[in-house]
Amino acid sequence: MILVQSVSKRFGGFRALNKVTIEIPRGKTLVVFGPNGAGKTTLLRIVAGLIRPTEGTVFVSGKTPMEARAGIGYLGTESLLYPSLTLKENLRFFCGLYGVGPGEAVRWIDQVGLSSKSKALVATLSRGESQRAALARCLIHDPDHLIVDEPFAGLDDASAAAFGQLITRESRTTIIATHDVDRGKQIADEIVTLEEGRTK
Amino acid sequence: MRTAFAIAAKDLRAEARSKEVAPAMLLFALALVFLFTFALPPGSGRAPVPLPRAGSVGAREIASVFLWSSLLFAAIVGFGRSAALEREGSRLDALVLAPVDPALVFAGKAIANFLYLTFIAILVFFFFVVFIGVAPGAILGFLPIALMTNIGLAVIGTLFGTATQYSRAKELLLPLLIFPSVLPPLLAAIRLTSETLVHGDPFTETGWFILIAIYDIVFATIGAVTFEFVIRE
Repeated sequence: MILVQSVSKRFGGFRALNKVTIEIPRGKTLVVFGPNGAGKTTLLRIVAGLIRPTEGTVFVSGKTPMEARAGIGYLGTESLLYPSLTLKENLRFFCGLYGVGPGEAVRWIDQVGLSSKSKALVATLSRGESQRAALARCLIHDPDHLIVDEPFAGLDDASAAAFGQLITRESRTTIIATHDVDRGKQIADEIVTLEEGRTK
Repeated sequence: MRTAFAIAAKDLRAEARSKEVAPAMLLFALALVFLFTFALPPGSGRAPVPLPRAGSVGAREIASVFLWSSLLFAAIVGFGRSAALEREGSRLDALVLAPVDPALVFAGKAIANFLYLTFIAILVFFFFVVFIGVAPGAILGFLPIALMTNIGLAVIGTLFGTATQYSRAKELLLPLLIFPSVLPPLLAAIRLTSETLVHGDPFTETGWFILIAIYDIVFATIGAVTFEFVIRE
């Protein structure tokens, strides 16, 4: 379960989020819609523990996001992979950070359909391949909570559909921010729309 | 510590392929050594040491100042580049998200910076052997000084390099923070290197080693404790 209680975030004089309260029951998928600058990415980064809210609290399975890090997978707009390492080297590195066996790296490379690219430098991957590689990175520790920002951007229909299947798992609590209304509605259990930092 | 070594190994492997940090440091150091040694004639590293009287400074003593100045400037280039590798593509986020102690992330980055510095220090020393004729055997005395001093430099460079990455004037801010912070161990290193080049033995002045060791311990502790606040918003 993810609980966002009256969370506000200011960057200098700009208020990115304004008293946002959201509750996502365990195993449900929340899709966050909203125009550019609505605060979607800020909300996701706060839930992931990457930034602190100015006001309010966030609990992930009853813990703060920092305490719950081992159970959170975050996929942002960047792949967070090292371009001068191969895909396999990258994923093995993250296996080490998350304390999972190196075999998971190979398994997830297969899962996202990049077996032929496992020895390719990440810098040489296409946008779609890079997105799938990033998905493998964020799922490598099989997190119970998944936070995904614009997962369908730059993907063709087939890749986007496959992507949607990979991120949904029974008992996994998921937050997805997207502009893709049709695809978002297909995988959503609940929907929230953000506008100027407030839930509508 | 396995996590720290994994982060250091990742940095070194990435560097071995991309060659973004060490060659820049090396080129910068080489240019500085060339400029500095221009004032000293070839072979002056083996010239007789003047008697200790007011106003007399030997080429070997000056060489130690040139050597450490070259290393310091090269180090600043390296620290900025090394920290930028995590900032670019927001890759630091991946380390913040992972369930590892930020102190280990700090240690891993500092180990990689320490190894770059030590590699550059050894090469720069041999530039001095080539350009001004410093005795090659003096490396045996120089190496323990470089190893101890580089720990402090790497620690402070990792901390400030990361801290300044998200500021607008990072190129200005990084040297402004590093220069005053590293003065104590740098002065000690210059004194000890001077002893090595003049008398061939740095261990006659153990007080300077103790100063460097204290500095290393204090800043390693500060870095380990504060790094979490540096890498999180």
